[in-house]
Amino acid sequence: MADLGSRSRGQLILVAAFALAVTFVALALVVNSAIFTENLASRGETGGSGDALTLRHDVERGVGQSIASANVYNTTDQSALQQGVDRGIGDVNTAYSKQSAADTAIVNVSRKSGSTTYGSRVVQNESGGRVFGPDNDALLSNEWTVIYGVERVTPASEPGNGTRAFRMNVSEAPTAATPFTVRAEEYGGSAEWRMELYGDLDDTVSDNEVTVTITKPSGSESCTVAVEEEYTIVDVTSGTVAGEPCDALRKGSFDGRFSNGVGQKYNITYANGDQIKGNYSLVTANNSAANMDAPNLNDSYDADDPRASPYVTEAVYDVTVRYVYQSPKLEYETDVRVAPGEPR
Amino acid sequence: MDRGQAHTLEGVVAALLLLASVIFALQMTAVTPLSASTSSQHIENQQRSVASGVLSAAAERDGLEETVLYWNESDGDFHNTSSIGYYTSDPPNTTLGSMLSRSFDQEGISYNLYVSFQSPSGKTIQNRVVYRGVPSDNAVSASRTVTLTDDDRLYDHDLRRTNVTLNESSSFYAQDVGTGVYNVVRVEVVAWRI
Repeated sequence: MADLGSRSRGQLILVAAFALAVTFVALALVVNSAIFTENLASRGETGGSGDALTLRHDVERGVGQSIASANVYNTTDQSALQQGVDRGIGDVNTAYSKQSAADTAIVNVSRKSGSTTYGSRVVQNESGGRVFGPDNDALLSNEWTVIYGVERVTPASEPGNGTRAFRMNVSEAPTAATPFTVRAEEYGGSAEWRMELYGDLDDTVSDNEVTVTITKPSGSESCTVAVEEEYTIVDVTSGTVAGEPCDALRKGSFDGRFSNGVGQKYNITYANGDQIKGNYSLVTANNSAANMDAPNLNDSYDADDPRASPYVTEAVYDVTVRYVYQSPKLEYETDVRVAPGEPR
Repeated sequence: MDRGQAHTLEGVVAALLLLASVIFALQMTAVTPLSASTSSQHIENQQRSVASGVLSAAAERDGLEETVLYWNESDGDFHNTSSIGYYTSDPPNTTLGSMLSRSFDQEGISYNLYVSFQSPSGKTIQNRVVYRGVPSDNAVSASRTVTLTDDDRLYDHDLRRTNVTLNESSSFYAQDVGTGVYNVVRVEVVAWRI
């Protein structure tokens, strides 16, 4: 060892201590930056794309409700419908842009001009419900055509349907021997999609249930849902029975979505309508209700006529809106096709 | 004698310096994202995901509208609330309420539920639905937006639709502000660990 006097030895210790301190500080920096990196990496997405997509979904629902509302209140003619839908979209736009401004985002929703598909809305809406027959009940127990010539709309993304928001509120269900039957029959062809419905909806609610059987050109499948009420809502196009998903009516390995496999144009018919009681409504894409051949339906609602149901009105089938979302980190712009309750 | 004292002092100073460096280094890494701390980013991420997941699941089942419209028309407040007009201990007996309860209550997470909407004069008003106190600094929030139309009907306390539409209701918290829709209500969940 070299000659280390007390003075130089003290210096050595001091220098060593400093070196150690600097090493620790450096180590702390490295470890912290690693932690910070991991922290950044484990944050979800930081651009806010999730917010943009969630809001898009909410906008779609909001515009869908505007369409539904216009289809009930602004049914005089197609321009009245358009105005009703536009007012709704305007309100949705105002409200959503205000709400999203709180999240530092600018949102704009506007209807794409010329994007509206018109059609008809068929409704049976009587207090206490009614058998599912034509307006004069003449063909009640036979098969009768609810609506002719429903034409599928074909958006660019995927083949659409021609029927949406087909909901039945059933208060008396038929027995398995004579099931109520909805058919989608190919226009000028023989392919058919068929839904048979039967069940038990009496006062003894404990054993109430509804069975839905779907038959399409390539096979059949059914689902049975327990019902806790004396009535039930069967949403044919959304594929739910009493609020529960019914696989037979949905996209899946069987894919029994409404009118699946019956071609581009079809008719909708009912059979055994005298066995079932309740109300229903559906919106279809086809010619204007005004010049449609619909002998079994009233062309407007008449409260004084007890046989006024079912009736048919002009309706909007779908609308495409331009959705723009701008935040400091993200700009997102897309077309959203809105057809509430369409099978998907 | 002098030399011995100097050595002792040197030793003590060196020891202090070393110890101080070690403590300094340890202090800097005391809070990591994975250590059990309420300010942990991971936990906040998870809570935010759970909150937005609950809202999305409820939205798919029309559970948001149900909670927004779970209104007692004659009393002018949400069903089964006390005079303060919002829920404190138990959430409302709706789809969203029970989903929130299942997701958060058993995990030791507290939450508030708010609805905000436009007033006729254009201001944004926020009302409490479930209120359990002031959120902590590391609270997270998630929100969804619900559009109400004039003929949406209020729900009774058994979750059946009543015959009272929003247009007819005189005590509903949000006013009719649109020409085509009634109002747009933002449902916000704020959650934090307790």
